[in-house]
Amino acid sequence: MLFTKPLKTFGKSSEYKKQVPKMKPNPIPELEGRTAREFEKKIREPPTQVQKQILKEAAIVYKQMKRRTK
Amino acid sequence: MSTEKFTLDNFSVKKLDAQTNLSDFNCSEQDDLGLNEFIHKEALDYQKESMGVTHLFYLNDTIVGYITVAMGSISVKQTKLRLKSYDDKVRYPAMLLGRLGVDNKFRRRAIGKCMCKWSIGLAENLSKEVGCRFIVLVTKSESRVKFYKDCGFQECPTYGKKKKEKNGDSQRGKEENRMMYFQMF
Repeated sequence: MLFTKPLKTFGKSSEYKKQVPKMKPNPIPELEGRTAREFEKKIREPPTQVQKQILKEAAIVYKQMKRRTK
Repeated sequence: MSTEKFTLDNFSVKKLDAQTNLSDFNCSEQDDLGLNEFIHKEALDYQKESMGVTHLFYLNDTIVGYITVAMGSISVKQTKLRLKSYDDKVRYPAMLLGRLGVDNKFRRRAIGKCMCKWSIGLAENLSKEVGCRFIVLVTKSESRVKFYKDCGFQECPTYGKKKKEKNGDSQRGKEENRMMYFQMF
């Protein structure tokens, strides 16, 4: 098992410091209030021609590159 | 800067592993997000802990860029537009595009855009098997937002309240975090 020490001592141990990466990605924010309402409204809009085109291109790129995966 | 012609025919992708030689890869220019440090020091640990998978992009045999992806979600608190069957908060399943870095020598050749499209293709394929409605990312600076907009991403409407600058952390406070998403349908 990966984490075997009690939590209190574990956080300070060098073992823990080695295991947990230091660079944390930026957290995804929780949307609320006006932001949440606008987001919900926006995601109900139909996709634009540009987005449809990008989805098509993405499928082609993924398919072609998958074939040559090393 | 390399002038080698870039086409999909000589572009390939491979997962990062312990044997990968990253000594020639350098994406340290304009790297305020720490992408170069991440790929050299952290990416493998992330992968071992299943916190993110790093995919390396090769132009012939040269590593030109990488992306790190993980599962994520977009949490939205209750609004009037929501279906009543949901609770007061819904977590839309999403694929998190955690990192995207292109080698200094291979920039401005649409390689980043191609990698971004590959990640959209990956998410689209995932969404056929596992619920995945969005690709989501958090970034900084106007130029990066423009790059992702060119790749079809939308910026989350009013997110981005300025963080208060803390002592000794003034650089971080200058640029806001900007959340962007791409909807899969």
